[in-house]
This record gives sequence, C-alpha cells and structure tokens, in this order.
Amino acid sequence: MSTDIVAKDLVDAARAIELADSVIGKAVRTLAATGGPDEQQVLAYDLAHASAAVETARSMLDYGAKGEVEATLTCAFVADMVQDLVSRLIGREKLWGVDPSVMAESHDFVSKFRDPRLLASLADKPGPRHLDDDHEMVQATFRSFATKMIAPHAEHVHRENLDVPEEIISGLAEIGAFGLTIPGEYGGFSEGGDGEYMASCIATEELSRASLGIGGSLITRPEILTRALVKGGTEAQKHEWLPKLASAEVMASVAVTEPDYGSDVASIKTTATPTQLDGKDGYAINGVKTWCTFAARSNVLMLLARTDPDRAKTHRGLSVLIVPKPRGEAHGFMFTQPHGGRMEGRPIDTIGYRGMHSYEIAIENWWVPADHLIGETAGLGKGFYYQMEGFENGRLQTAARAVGVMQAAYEAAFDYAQNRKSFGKNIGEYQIIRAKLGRMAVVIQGARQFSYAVAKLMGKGQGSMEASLVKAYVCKAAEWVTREAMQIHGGYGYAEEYAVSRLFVDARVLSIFEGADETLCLKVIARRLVETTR
Amino acid sequence: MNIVVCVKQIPDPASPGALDASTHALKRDGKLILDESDAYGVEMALQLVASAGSGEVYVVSMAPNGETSGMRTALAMGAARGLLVSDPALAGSDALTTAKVLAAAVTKLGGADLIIAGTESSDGYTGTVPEQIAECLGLPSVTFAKKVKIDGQVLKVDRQSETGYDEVECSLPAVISVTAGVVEPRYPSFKGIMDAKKKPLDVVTAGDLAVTPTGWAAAGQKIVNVTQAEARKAGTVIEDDGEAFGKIVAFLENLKLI
Ligand SMILES: Cc1cc2nc3c(=O)[nH]c(=O)nc-3n(C[C@H](O)[C@H](O)[C@H](O)COP(=O)(O)OP(=O)(O)OC[C@H]3O[C@@H](n4cnc5c(N)ncnc54)[C@H](O)[C@@H]3O)c2cc1C
Ligand SMILES: Cc1cc2nc3c(=O)[nH]c(=O)nc-3n(C[C@H](O)[C@H](O)[C@H](O)COP(=O)(O)OP(=O)(O)OC[C@H]3O[C@@H](n4cnc5c(N)ncnc54)[C@H](O)[C@@H]3O)c2cc1C
Repeated sequence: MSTDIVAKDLVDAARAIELADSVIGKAVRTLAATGGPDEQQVLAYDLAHASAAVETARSMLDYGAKGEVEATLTCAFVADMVQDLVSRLIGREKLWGVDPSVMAESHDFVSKFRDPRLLASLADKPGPRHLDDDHEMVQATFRSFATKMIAPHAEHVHRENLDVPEEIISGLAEIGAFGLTIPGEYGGFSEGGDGEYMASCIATEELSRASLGIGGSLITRPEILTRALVKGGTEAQKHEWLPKLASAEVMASVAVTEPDYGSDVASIKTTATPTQLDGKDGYAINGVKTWCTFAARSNVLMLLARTDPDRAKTHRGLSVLIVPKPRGEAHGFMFTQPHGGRMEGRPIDTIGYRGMHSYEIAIENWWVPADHLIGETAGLGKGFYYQMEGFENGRLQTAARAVGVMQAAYEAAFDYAQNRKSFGKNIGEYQIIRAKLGRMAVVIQGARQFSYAVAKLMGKGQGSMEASLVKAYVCKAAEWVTREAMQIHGGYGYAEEYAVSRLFVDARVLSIFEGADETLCLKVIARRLVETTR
Repeated sequence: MNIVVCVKQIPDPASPGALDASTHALKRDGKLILDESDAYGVEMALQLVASAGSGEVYVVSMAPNGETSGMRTALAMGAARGLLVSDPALAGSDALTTAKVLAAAVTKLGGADLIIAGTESSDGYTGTVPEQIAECLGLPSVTFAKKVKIDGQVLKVDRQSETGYDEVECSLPAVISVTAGVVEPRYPSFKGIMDAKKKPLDVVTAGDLAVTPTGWAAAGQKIVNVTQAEARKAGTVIEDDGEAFGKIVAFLENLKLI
C-alpha cells in the first residue's frame, strides 16, 4: 500500500466516524423524544455501545497516522465499528428514527477493510504502542516484574483457589505501583501531569497480562480510594491515608454492594449512626455488604453507608467511611471490638478472578472514629459522589485490565496456532484462524489506544464519560477475544492446564463488576448522551 | 565511595538478532536495552555505595547512534549520572578499543574508587573488556566476583572458581567483573523512572576522549566468515526400569553439575 492510499483511507475512516456519529446523534434525539433510557432500554443500550465503539475509533485516528500498519489497524477498526452499528440498527430504523442509507457513503471503505484477506494479513501485526521513552520504561519494568513475580504463580493460584502471594504486594509497593496517582506531597509519585494515569494504565495492562486475579487488580482498590480521598478528604485525612496507600502499609477493599442492592447503589441500607465510644465521637456501622473483594487481606474497608436516617434522601444520604479492620483468614473471618462490635466475613467461591477472594460481610455495631468519614462533617451526604469519582478511576483501570487479559489471550492463541497441525498444515496458516487473530489485533490495539486517550483526559481532570465508554467497550471485547482464543486452542482450550481457559473465565467478570454493563450503559452513558445531544 | 559501572547496551535478546551481511557484525540500529549482565553490576554498586554511606554511582557506555535507553534504565535504578561515548568512527571497534574508550570515559568522569563491569556481555561475550580496562588505567583487577565487601581501603572479594571460591583482597581503586546472579537487581521504581530524565547524561565522541585509532582500522582482527552452529545432537533417552534416577545422577555428575 502506498502512503497516498493510506492517507486517503484515513480520510475515508474519519468520514465514516463522522457519519456514524451523526446516526447516533439522531437516534439519541429520538431516544430523548420517546421516553429516554428508562423507557427505551434496548435502544439506549445499543446507542451506548455504538457510541463507545465510535469514540474508540475516533481515538485511533491519530494512531493511524503513524504508519502503514497503524493505518490499516485503524481502518479495520473503523470498518468493524460501522458493521456493528449497522447490525444494531437493521430492522429498528423506526425505533432509532434513522435512515440506514446514511451509511451507504462508507460502503466501499467498509468493504475494503472488512475483507477477510485484509484481516488475515493483520494476524501477526498487532502494531507498535507508540509510547514515549518514560512510558516504555514503565512498560518494560512492569512486564519484567509480571513475568518473574506474577506469571509463575498465576495458574497455581487459579486452580487451587489460593491467595495472592505477599511478595507480589511488597514488590509492587517497592516499584511504586500503588502511588502512581497519589500526589507527591502525600507520599505518592504523581506530579500532576497526564503521565501518571497513562503509567497506571500501562502498568495495569502488563500486570493483568500475567494475571487478572493476582496482578492488575491489586491496583484497582487503592486507586478507587485514592481518587475519593483526593476529591473529598480533609487535609488531615489525605496526610493520614494516602502515604499508607502508596506504600501498601494499608491495603483497601471496597464495600459498596449489598445482597439486595448491586447496580442500584443509591438504595443501599447499611447504616453508620453517630455514636460516642469512651467519650469519643464516631459512627456505629450496621448492615451486610457483599462481593467485597480482598476483604480478608485488606487493612481497611472503603465503606459506603447511610448516615442520614431519612431513606427518602436516597443517594444524598450516603457517606464514605474508612473502616480499619485486622487482617483475616482467606477462608473466612470473624472480628470483634471490645465494646461488642462484630464483623464476620464469608468467602464466595467464584469461577475465576481468583486470588483476592470476595466476601459477604455481616457488620454489627462496628465502631469507627468520626474522622474516618471522608470529608468529616463536610462529607456527610456526599459519599455517593466520592464513591462515583473513585469508580471513574476504577473504570479506566478496569479497561486496562481487560486489555492485559486480551493481550495474553491473543499471544497464547497466536503461539498455539503456529504449533498445532490439522489436515497437514499449521492451523495458523488457515484463513479463518488468521482472520480471527487479525480481528483480535485490531480490537486490542483500538482498546489500548482509547484507554491511553482516556488516561490523558483523566490526568487533566476530565474524561468521566470517556471512562465509562472505554469500560463498556473494552470489557465486552475481552469476552470475544478470550472466547476466540479458547476456540483456536480447540479441546485443549477447555482444559484447565491451558492458561487460555483461565483467561476466558477471568474475562467474564469484567462486564459485571465496576458497573454492570447494562446499568453502566443505561444509567451513565445513555443518560449523558441524552443530556449532551440536544 | 564513587563507583563507575560499565553498562553495555544491547539489542533486545527477546527479538531475533541479525548480522550485517558485509561486515558480519551484529546489527544495532534499533532500540538497545541494558544488558542484564550489567544490571547486576549496577545493583552491586548501588548497594556498596549505600552501605558506605556516601558517594555516587556513575555509568559509562559505548554504543552507536547516541543510544541511551539502556543507560536510562540504570539511572532509573538509582545511578546518578551517565557518560555515553558514541561515534560513527567507533564502528567495528574490537574489545581492546572498547576498553580504551571506556577507560578514557572513566577518567573523564574524574576516576572512581571502584570500577565494575560484567564478567561477559550477553551479545559479544569475549569476556575480555574488564581486564583490558584495568590495564589501560593501570589498576588491579579481580574477575568473577560473586561477593564484594569494602573494608576501608581494602577490597575483599569472593572470587568464583571451578571448585568453589577464592577469598581475594586487593587495594582500591580497582576494576572488578561480577558474575550473573550475585545480587537481585532492583526494578526501577516509578519515582526512579520519573527522576531519571532529570539526571545528567552526557554524550561524547572518541575524539573528545582523544582515543585513536578506532573502529575497523584499529581492530587487530577481522571477521572473515560466519557459519551456522552445528545442529544440536539428539538427546539420550533413558527408559525408566525403576533405576533411571541412578543414570540421571551419573549423567549430571559427568557434567559436573552436581
Ligand atoms: C468477582 C466480583 C468482585 C466484586 N467486587 C466488588 C467489590 O470489591 N466491592 C463491591 O462493592 N462490589 C463488588 N462486586 C459487585 C459488583 O459491583 C456487582 O455485582 C455489580 O454492581 C452488579 O450488581 P448485582 O450483582 O447486584 O446485580 P444486579 O444489580 O442485581 O443486576 C443484575 C442484572 O440486571 C441488570 N440490571 C440492573 N439494574 C437494571 C436496570 N435498571 N435496567 C436494566 N438492567 C438492569 C444488570 O446489568 C445485571 O445484568 C463484585 C462482583 C464480582 C462478580
Ligand atoms: C565487528 C564488531 C563491530 C562493532 N561495532 C561497534 C559499533 O558500531 N559501535 C560500538 O559502539 N561498538 C561496536 N563494537 C564493540 C562491541 O559492541 C563491544 O562493545 C566490544 O567488542 C566488547 O566486547 P564484548 O561484548 O565481548 O565484551 P565483554 O568483555 O564480554 O564484556 C564484559 C563487560 O564489559 C563491559 N562492556 C563491554 N562492552 C561495553 C560497551 N560497549 N559499553 C559499556 N560497557 C561495556 C560490560 O560491563 C560487559 O558486561 C563492535 C565490535 C565488533 C567485534
């Protein structure tokens, strides 16, 4: 391909993105006029995902300008996005209020870049990442750490349902992995540029490439608590907790979900009631939390509770508390406080994402001092916002985790395909296998480049919508990539002894936690689309 | 206590290397990384300076195209400054010229109490550069160091031998070469990576150091031909008749591995 053709293709790609964007814009106006996301859930969901794919495609245009492989990956991504959009739209034109012929202008472009031969040619061309020197060193460092310290444990911990080895936590703390977004004055390494969120993304991808359960996910919880503290903490609270989070002296877990309230966070029932103990002001916590990941090992729970007894206040009655607790046994724990406070944790067995374990925790009269409420009195009723602020960061981080899992799956499938013979040939030579690998390469690079773009926005204090978009797109993509990687392994892919089976079950959780896909699409993305498209 | 570590920057061993068809020399046009053999030297230097309580670790390197990626890794690990010698005139330099250049670079940095190199590099592995540096600088040299202690002005080294190790003492300043695996090299910390770009890293030419002649002209050797290594022979298969462990032990003993 000559560079002229490449340049023309990129112009066509940009045009296709523009057209797709106009289709979504029109459909969002129809959505707003016909009852909004709560009434028209399927339309809203489709628009949220279509919009996530469009924004991913848009973020790839700069990347595409960097070379021929980059351009081809970009154009193939854009063509894939258009195909996805059209297949969502077909048969629902009235519901969307869109005439599908609008996309006809891009037909030739899409044909060219959905050609199976073109996809097959990308099987072994995942494309360079284009990181600057510092970020390349971050990548090399975390890749090397993950290869030496995490990968050797990944299978064993998964298959035996064991705990995260402590040397991984202390090793990550030494590298500074828990302080990436903590400002320097509070013991972290953030200098306030956009580089730290990038670094955090890059580190997370490399750690998750080795293991989701005992690698990349270790950073998520401290990142969520850090962001909430930076947003709402008092100066004293920041000085107290942030240095400890940076050094891993304090490991956190997040206690938001309750047995009856998962997606519907604003309705949670756990209460924190002002209570004096030995003459000191504080709160007594009562309720049941569930799915609290890492709760045995962690030193504090970041707990969302109702501090205003008036339930009509829904999310405006919630506050975030930092709840210290002893370290417990992985198979379950029971702690008491001298005055009678109790905390009991029961592990929930899961099909994947093993190592940190998730717990249902029953809490009775557990007392914390008043200064453990984020923002103290000024933070009363603001917990929901602080929590959501934290979750935004968690979403970007989760997207980076998904990219790492996908990358591992692609590499495993690629290697396997080069070494498995069927009908006398390596399966890696067959068109359909190559086209699958090619599409994986396209999707992974798109996901990665979009997560970098969102990281840069978050570093500037923006990007809250984009963090949701990247989470929605990338986590779903990880299901397809790990599914196909398993498929390329044939029967062996279904065997526990092949790592790809772990990647498949691990990937499945990504669309459930940190904002269940449907809820994220309907309550966050589609709502924002309606608000911003007039 | 100032230590200079010689760090070679090499093509990433993870990607297949290639030879230049006309010169038969290793192609080094892409990104170069810190040779893992030298990461041990950097770590040892950092530990020695830390236990001495004062001083700095400097790194010197000779590499084409002004390449500093590998040196930056050493700076991110904690070295304080770097000096790179890069010069098209150095293309084709042999180990002796390399040693002369590195010796001159050490002198340019104001000398050192101790100079550390790897026992052999991962890509060239002549294993001759460290002793030649010592000779150029007129310093004593101890090779194959597996444990190093500094006691006042005395260097105490456990020197790896075929049967165990020798305890060697020598005066400072000196040049030592350290074996792989003697210490666990630290990972550059995130803060280290951020700080590395603020640390001084100077680039000079062979001319700046007044080293002549250099390159192919100076090399007392020429690569005449390169041929494929002999294909590996098929291994020995031992059928387990209940006594196989004995044969395996004998096999390993024969190789002096146990
Ligand atoms: C492995 C794992 C680890 C986790 N770790 C943590 C943790 O550390 N801390 C924590 O607090 N939580 C954690 N969670 C909980 C997770 O955040 C919740 O599972 C998630 O928020 C969904 O809540 P739920 O399970 O109650 O599902 P529900 O909210 O009951 O949802 C069930 C289904 O209905 C859909 N749905 C819900 N509401 C609507 C609606 N209005 N319209 C249409 N569809 C809807 C959802 O998308 C989902 O598909 C974890 C979960 C898992 C699986
Ligand atoms: C044919 C040929 C072409 C070459 N072309 C070039 C060229 O174009 N540009 C160029 O810069 N060099 C060039 N060299 C030099 C070469 O890269 C080596 O530096 C030199 O030959 C040392 O050999 P070695 O790797 O076997 O060292 P060894 O003796 O095995 O290395 C032992 C230790 O010495 C130190 N050391 C060795 N080399 C260096 C170095 N370069 N920098 C810092 N420390 C070092 C390290 O601590 C290393 O662990 C060329 C060499 C040959 C033979």
